[in-house]
Amino acid sequence: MEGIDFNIALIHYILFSGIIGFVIMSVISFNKRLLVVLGTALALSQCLAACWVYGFIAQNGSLSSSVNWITFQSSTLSLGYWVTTEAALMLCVVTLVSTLVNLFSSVYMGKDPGIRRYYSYLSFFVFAMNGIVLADNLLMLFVFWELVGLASYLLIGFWFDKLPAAKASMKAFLMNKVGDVGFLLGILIVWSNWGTLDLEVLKSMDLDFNNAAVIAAGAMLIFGTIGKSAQMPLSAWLPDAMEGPTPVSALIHAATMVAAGIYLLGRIYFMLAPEVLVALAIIGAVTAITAALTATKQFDIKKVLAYSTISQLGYMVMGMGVGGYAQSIFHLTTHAFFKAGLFLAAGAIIHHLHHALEQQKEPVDPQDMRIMGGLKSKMPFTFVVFLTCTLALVGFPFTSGFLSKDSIIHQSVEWANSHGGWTFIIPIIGFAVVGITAFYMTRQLLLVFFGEPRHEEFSSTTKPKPSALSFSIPLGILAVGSLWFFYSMNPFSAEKSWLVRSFSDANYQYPPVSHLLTSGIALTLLAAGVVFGYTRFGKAEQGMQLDEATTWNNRLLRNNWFQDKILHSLVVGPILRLAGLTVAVEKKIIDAIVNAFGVMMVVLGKVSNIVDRLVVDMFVSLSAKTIGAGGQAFRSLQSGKVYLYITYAFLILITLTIILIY
Amino acid sequence: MEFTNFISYFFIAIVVVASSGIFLTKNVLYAALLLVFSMLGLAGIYVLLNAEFVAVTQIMIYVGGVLVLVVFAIMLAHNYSGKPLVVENNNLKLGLFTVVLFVGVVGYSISGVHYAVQKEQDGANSVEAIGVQLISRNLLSFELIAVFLLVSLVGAIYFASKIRKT
Amino acid sequence: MMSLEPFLYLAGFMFAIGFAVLVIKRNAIFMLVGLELMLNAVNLNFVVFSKMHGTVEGQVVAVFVIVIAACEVAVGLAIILNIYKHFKNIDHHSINELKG
Repeated sequence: MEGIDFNIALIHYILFSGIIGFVIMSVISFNKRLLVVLGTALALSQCLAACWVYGFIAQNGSLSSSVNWITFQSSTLSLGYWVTTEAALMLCVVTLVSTLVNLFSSVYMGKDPGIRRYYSYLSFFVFAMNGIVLADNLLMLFVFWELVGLASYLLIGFWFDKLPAAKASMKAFLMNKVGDVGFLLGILIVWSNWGTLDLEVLKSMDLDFNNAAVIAAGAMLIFGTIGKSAQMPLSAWLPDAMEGPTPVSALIHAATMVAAGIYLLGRIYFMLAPEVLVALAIIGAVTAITAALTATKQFDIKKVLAYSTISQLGYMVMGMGVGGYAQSIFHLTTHAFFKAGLFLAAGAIIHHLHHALEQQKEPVDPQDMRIMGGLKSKMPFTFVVFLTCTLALVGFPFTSGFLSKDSIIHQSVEWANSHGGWTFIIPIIGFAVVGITAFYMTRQLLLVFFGEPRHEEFSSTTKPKPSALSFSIPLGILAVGSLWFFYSMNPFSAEKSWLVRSFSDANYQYPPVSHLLTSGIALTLLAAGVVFGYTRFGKAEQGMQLDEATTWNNRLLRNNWFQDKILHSLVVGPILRLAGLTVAVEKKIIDAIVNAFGVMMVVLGKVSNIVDRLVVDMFVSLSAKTIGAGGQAFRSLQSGKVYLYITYAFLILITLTIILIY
Repeated sequence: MEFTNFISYFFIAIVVVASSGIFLTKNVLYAALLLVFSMLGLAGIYVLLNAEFVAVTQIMIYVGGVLVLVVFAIMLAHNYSGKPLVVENNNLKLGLFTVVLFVGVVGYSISGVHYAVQKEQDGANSVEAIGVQLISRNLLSFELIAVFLLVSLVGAIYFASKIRKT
Repeated sequence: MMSLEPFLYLAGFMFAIGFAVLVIKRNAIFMLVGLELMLNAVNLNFVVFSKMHGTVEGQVVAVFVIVIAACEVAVGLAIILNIYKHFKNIDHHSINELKG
């Protein structure tokens, strides 16, 4: 039992050191160096503890511990941990990425006056995310879910003096809230139907998927995922979230916030009815392809990555929908590494360009790929990392991305095979997204690293000073983590991967559809995407001219399918019009009623005033005068003269004597 | 008998005159002097009533002690500026009304009953009997009154001595 | 045997006079004198009834009363001196600190 206690203590440490770090960093003003060391050391220690816990769980099975929080008559709300293999893995990923981001930020945010705030928010963010990962019941999960929302709001709006950042943070927060309302409704459905929110208890209940309540609960709960993981109706916030600092983007996109949605699906997977899963598959597929298409036309280096994140998340949701639970979590893990690597590499590029452009007279956006080019020779290490992570993202063999993406597509083909009919659209979309991803990542690589520098400032500057260790260490780790050997000894199949095996049945087998066929199709499409990208952007200027042309598809894709406009006209506009209408109603009708009521009250007040003065006041003043006269009469008795008191006392004595005698 | 009656009426007259004088006079010093006369008259009455010890105590304490104190107080509490120590009356009507009422009640009460000596005292000397009483049945009261006297005198001295200090 | 009623009437009269002096005279020393008269009236009653019953109980109480009277005079005079010190006179008509 001692071992378990020790692990629980470690979990306590992993969770609470985040909030303690937040408080300490918020309250005490460290100097910059100490702050960085503290933040990184905290994250690193959490990471090591998480790895230990993972090792323990992988050997001894899941771990749970809870305390009662609120006890009702028949049921109890508890607070506690339910650490399954997935949870432990997520802990490792979250804390590792946060460690690297902490380290990376020491230089990236080094000159920012708000660095103390930044580090404390990071700590808080990780705390909230760990809470989601560890929570053993839906309510606690929801609480931390909201805390993650808050933390993302704070970090996206970190530079709140910039209007776009402030707006983006608000947008992210509000759109998340839309999903959270659905999530909360789902929780209420669960509570009212089964009287418990404990995930372990719910899992042991063997829910009947024909029950409408189960379907309703599942359908509402996935709204949380749709909001948090930026799935189709609610995906517009994520590209705007790029306004935050780039390391934060890495954290949000790789490990913490958007991963929470997928993780939630994994947690409640046993509650999802087949109908809900189909809906998930459709949502995921639609999101994956629309976001991938949007990414092909973006010029902002971070926006491309943002849309690719949405696309990959769509993959994961789709994977969940087609029954590839283990594959989705696997893809989530691998994605965390290569996407964090991509974002941090992009951060390094932006950091470099920002410093190179500091002397410019008119402000130039350092994130615009149109001014880049030819960075391969100037930032070779960053290039290598970026290339590795790109290969992983597009699913090139010998990378982690190949393993996980391949297994998801494979699962979807198998699923379509067993369902038949229209469901083949899902794997087809999956294949198409592979090609599109290859295309837009090739475009990005070509625009950023190849060709000639397209800005005179860069062409004149010599090679930048070798990147700092705090840049290269995280980038190196993430690049290595994007290779295949860390996950599976066989670079072409995840079938024997220890990770996949660790959270699914031990006799996990690839579905019987030919693995070679699906991989072949995917790789062919990949190659086609790369080739198409190269032919189009081999000469960067031509490609950019094509993208900048105002054709309908360019406009559509560059504006993300006009999601913002649609949302604005469908949701925001009607609400504003409704508000205007209610204002009119309020002014014309309710105010009139209120005014009439007021006039009536005034008249009544006048009448009661008269009555008051004539009748009530008379009584009052009469009684007051009577009492006053009485007081005046008896006042003289209380003269303060001793002899009078004696006289009175004696008179009373005589009176008593007379009464007694006669 | 006749002589005793005469003597007793004589003393009663002295007391009545002296105490009426106290009420009538406006001079504090006269009042003190008349008080002495009434005390002396009372002492005489006590002797007639076989209460020699009380009579002697009365003379010693009132004439020897109280009067001296009163005279001291008069001297200390008045500024001598040649004018007589005139004291005004107040509360005359109410006070007299109360007094008349009281006299009426008491007189009526006394007049309804005949009072006479029911039993002669055994032994001519009451002093011895008082002594025995004081240290037997009334010993506690006696001791307490002694302590009370001491305390009140000490207190009075302390109280009066503060005046000089301030 | 002689009648005791004259002494009782005398006691009542003395008490009445003492009370009149107490409440009517505008001087603190007069008040004390009036109090003495009242106490002596009570004393007289004690002695008279002691005579009437042929015991010395009343005389003993009378002695106690005399002692207490002495105490009262001592304390009272000390108070009067303090009042004089404080108000610069002993006219109790003007001493009305208790006035409501």
